[in-house]
Amino acid sequence: MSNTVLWIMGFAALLLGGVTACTTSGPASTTGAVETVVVATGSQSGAPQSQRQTAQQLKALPPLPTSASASAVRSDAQLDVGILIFGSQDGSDPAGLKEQGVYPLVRKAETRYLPFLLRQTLEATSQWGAVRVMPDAHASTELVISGEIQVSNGEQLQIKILAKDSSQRLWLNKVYRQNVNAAAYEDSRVDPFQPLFDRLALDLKAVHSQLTASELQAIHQLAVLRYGQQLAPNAFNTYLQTNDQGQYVLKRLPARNDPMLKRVTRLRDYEYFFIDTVDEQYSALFVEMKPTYQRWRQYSRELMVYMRDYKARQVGKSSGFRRGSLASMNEVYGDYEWYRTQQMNLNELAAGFNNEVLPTVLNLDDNVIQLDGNLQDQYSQWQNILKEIFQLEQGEI
Amino acid sequence: MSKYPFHLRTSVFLLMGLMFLAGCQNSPRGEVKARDAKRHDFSGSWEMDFSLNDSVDAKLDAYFYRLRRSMARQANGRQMESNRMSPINQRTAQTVVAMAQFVEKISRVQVMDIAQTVTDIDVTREGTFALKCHFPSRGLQQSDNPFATEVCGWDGHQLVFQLRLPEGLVVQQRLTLSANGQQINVATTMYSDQAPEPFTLNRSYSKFEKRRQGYSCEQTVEKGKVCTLTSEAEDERMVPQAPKPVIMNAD
Repeated sequence: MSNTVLWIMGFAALLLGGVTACTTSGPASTTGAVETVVVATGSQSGAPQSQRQTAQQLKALPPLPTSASASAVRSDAQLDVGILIFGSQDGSDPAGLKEQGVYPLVRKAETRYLPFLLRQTLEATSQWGAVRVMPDAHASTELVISGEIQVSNGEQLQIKILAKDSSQRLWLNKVYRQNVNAAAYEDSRVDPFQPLFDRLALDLKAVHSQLTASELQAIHQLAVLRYGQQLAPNAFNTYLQTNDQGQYVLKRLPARNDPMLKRVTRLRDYEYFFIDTVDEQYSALFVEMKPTYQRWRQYSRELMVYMRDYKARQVGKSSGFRRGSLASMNEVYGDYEWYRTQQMNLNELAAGFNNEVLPTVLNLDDNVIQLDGNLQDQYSQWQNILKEIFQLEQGEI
Repeated sequence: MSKYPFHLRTSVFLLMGLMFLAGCQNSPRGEVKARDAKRHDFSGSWEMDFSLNDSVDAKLDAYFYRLRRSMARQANGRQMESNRMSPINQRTAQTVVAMAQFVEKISRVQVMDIAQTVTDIDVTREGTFALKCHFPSRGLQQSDNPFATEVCGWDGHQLVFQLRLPEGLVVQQRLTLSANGQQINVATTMYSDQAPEPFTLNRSYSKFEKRRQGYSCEQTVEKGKVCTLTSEAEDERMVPQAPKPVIMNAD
């Protein structure tokens, strides 16, 4: 083989490797059964380019075909998405959490903030039906996304994402990780971790694109029937069965004018009514906490970087100043003072995170209903009310 | 008569003395041995009373005088006889002056606000970080962070905050309440492994009733930092006299 051929092959391999690193946003490693997607950081070479590519890919997605009957009615290709409030992997020991840079109040707030960011990202693609942030799982949701915050310290965000449709088909089970540098905080209009959510949106769309029209239609149908099964198992069990993989499949469909189905559909709309009302609270929270949260993450990132640099300096152990000199004292104490001041700022910001949830007041058939407690409790109360209504309407079978 | 010659006995004696001193050197500098806690109530607002403060120059003079005396004693009184003081090593002198400058710098805090409960104390200091201590049990509490080891707690009726920093530095702050409860003495002591003795500077603080006039700020999510202007008269009308917190000795 000539040198020229070898050179070309080498160049091609290099190019391919580079492109792969950019388009898949860094090496994707597998931890156990869960794949980790590392979104390129701003400091890596080619990272900004890769991030732009991801954002452009999202923008370039072709609009989904709209329903032939009416443009206001969504097409079968558009699935409704429910994003559950994220969970958190942290333990419950507050002192231990602070050691890791985790502030419980902030973590609680970001379990609501980050799902909303994902919601905004998905909505911007126009590839989905209604995208809702939900306090708890809902049987009639066509695609449910749940997440767990594993690391969030302003420098790194790592979340585990699980997405399943109404048939319980697994769409995604991945860990997404992104590190950012100081430049990511320069533009306050864009979230520093937006590339992670862009990547996630693209992955969801990739799974969506693989489904056939009949599979998408089945997802819609299964969502309603599974909700019906929850309310009236005896009536709806006949329409559903599970296969070997534990996924729901349609056995048969109820008649279009089935009165039971109509009631179920009406109650489902009530359930969405609650979720949409709660969603307004999440929207308000998102807007309110954005500037404070951004500042908090920026401070937190600076602290992480400074501490790492400090540790690195300690390895070398040479400050350059004579031991016992004023300069050496100022440097040693200055490091500590900076750390303490930064922690004070973080504490002050963290104290501002108000997670109080207001009571939700809903108007149901001319009755005003007030739901109290946290949103999960409120949702549970609402579901119980709907079940009671259903039982009353249905009467004894 | 001893079977050993005089110079050998002297050498052994000196060697033992040196070993004793070396043993002292090896014990951690500024180690606090906590006496039983007799917790005093430090809570309130405190402002520096300049008239009662130590003079840095006077403390430095006294330090060097003590050092020369000690060196002279070590030199077996030869310099005393010849009426000359031992010269202090230049590097040591530089370190001591640096310690004095440094202690003076970190003890410039003019106003402190202290909040205290049975298990915690929070000393908010103007212009620098707050000193916090959680003391649920007996003895001193120790915590580590990448920049220092922090030790705090009660040593009898005194509250001690100690920072063990890299480069052989220890900074200690010891708070003592006066008998009438109207003064706090903050003794800031610095230890360095490059200096023969620690350097201490005392700062005195008098209790004062903070006028509730001016800006009161709090961090909110919605509007960031929100500051409101309050007036004394308004506060007096609105806020009933809060009962004085009772600090109990848990130990």
